[in-house]
Amino acid sequence: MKKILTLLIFVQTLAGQTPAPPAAGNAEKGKATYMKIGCYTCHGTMGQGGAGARLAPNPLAAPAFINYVRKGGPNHSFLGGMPAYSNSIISDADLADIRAYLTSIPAPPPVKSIPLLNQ
Amino acid sequence: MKKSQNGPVNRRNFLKGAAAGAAAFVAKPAVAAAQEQRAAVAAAKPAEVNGPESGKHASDFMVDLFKSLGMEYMFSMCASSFIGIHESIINYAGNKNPECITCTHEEISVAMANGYAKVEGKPVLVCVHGTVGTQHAAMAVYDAWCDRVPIYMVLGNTIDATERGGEVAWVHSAQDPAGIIRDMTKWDDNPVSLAHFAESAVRAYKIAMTPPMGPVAICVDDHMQDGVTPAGLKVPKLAMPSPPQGESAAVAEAAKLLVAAQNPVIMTTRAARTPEGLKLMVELAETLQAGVVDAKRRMNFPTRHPLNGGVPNQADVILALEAGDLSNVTRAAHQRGAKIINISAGELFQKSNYGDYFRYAEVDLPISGDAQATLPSLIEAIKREMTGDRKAAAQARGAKLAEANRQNLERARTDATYAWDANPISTARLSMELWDQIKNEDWSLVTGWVNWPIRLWDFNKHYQYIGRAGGEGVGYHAPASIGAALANKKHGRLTVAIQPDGDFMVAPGVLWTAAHHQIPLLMIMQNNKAYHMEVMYFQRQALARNRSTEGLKIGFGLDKPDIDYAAMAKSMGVAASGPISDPKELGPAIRRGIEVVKRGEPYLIDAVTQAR
Repeated sequence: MKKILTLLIFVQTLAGQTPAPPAAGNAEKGKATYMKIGCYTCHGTMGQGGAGARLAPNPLAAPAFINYVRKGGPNHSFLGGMPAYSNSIISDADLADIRAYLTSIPAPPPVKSIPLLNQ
Repeated sequence: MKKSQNGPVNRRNFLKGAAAGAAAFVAKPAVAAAQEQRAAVAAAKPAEVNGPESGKHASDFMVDLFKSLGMEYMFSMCASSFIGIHESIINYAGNKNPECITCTHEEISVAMANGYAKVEGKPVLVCVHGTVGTQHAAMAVYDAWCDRVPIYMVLGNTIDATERGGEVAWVHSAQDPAGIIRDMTKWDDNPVSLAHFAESAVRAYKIAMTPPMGPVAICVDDHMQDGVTPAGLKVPKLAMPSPPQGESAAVAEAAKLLVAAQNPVIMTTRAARTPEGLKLMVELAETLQAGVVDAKRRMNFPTRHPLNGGVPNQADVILALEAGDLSNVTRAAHQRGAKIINISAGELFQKSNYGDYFRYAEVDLPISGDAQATLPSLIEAIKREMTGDRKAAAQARGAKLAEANRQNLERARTDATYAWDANPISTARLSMELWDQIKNEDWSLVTGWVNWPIRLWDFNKHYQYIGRAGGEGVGYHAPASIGAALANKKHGRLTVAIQPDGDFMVAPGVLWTAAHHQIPLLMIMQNNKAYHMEVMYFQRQALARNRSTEGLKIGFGLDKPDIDYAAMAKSMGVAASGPISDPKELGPAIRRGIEVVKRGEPYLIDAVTQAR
């Protein structure tokens, strides 16, 4: 339970509560890169989170987003935290594309509109 | 061990005779020829085919023993070394109590017994074959050992070297078969007489079922099974010992600490061994108005109870009840001056080789005793300590916890909306499609690693959840689910499993067992097409070396070709549907599956899902 609570706090932090500025990048290319390098394994194909934090639809602002990927994140589970990706692994331009993809993902429906979540 | 010269047809003598006949076709030294002549004379003696001259067959008596221990089933992959017992179950006991359940691997036999025991609270008989069967079984025995599950094993063997009929019998036999699994069993024995076997059979049951529970193994010589039960030999009386309780002065001290605490938190992993344990956990939490952090290796606490949850790092007193690794918790607690009480039977029985005792934890008040057995006296001691002002403080604390619990549920529901319509299906959507159709049934979820159900479903009965593999061995879930489903069958419960695909591929033959024995289970394959945990480790490793992660499918993927789980199931007689990757198709498939399961048969749905 401790891990879950910690993860929840982490998820809230990364997803951000304020709308991100318009994406500067190619969402289609970003999706392809997101899948190719395996972001989806921890964050889900729609950035919904899983073993890693929720990223979509409101990712961190671009500079913070890139900074986070470059430095990695704190330990939040038995897997450790987000590993750091250097510039030689993924470029700033690719990260901008990935961020554009995450920004393009529609917001989820409200809980009240999903009967299965109201029981 | 001596056998009548005119005893029943003996398998080894039959084999010797056959060997002698075959040997006549080849040249041989004079000494060897003389030995074979003696063997041929022995084999030619008239055999009694209908039964022993007096008394009953030894293996019939062994079955009487197993009946006396309440064994409902024998899980086994058939083998010559326990064929006497197998035959006695069929022809002496009428294949009832125990009933033979055919397994296709010894790891399946033991993992099924694990799932069965965690639902039913008692073991079944598991028979395995000598060296090879015991080694196959070892992984599942280790899971049970780490998970404190009673497993009752009989290891077939041919102890008399002169009776081993050929190379196969030799390599399947051992001087000490139980040595293969000794580090992961509570006790084993290698009886040399039927009377010895009888006492050890009953002793093994007592040891397995006395907390801390665990696997036991009795070796049985195949020669002994063929013998005759001596006149006057009785089934030894079984009287179960009461489980060990915490010492009363220590329990009173624990109660004082807990009642005086401003923010006590209860942590548990396996406190509730039985439905009564679950009730006691609720009574404890409500008496103390303390949050319960349940690691859910058993169904220790209801998920929607207002006191479910808590933050150990904010506690001033932590009560650990049959908890797992406490080392981090104790270090953090001591830094802020908090106290740790630990009630556990773990230190009453431990072995050295395997690390299931975890890093040393600096506990302030360790109490050796079974947590569930100690709870009644602890609850009473807490009630005695509760003054009016402490009751008021407890009520205020409980109200805050209830509000936090309500918020956690709302947060979980909101989290589940993300990727709700995703293709592949989100694991949250899968969980809620299933919950929607079982919530009004008498259901039991028998697989672990199910974070969404734990967050969103209303678990409140002991059999509704049985934890996961104690040793975290891959391959546990499918057979354990089917063993648990067999235990649920007689109670008329609807058993469901969310089955990891990689785990399933270890021992998929268990589906045939479910079909053959009509074991009703709805198995939903969580098909994420990879060993995803290891994929994440690969990514971490590559990035730590500043190297590419693009090879994440190499050696980790379960695709190219995709595995058609529905076709696999159908090939073994299990009705199935899928693959389904559109979430809108999942609900109707679950409905069809439940209809089949309610008819008493297994059903598999292949759901293509997100990684996590």
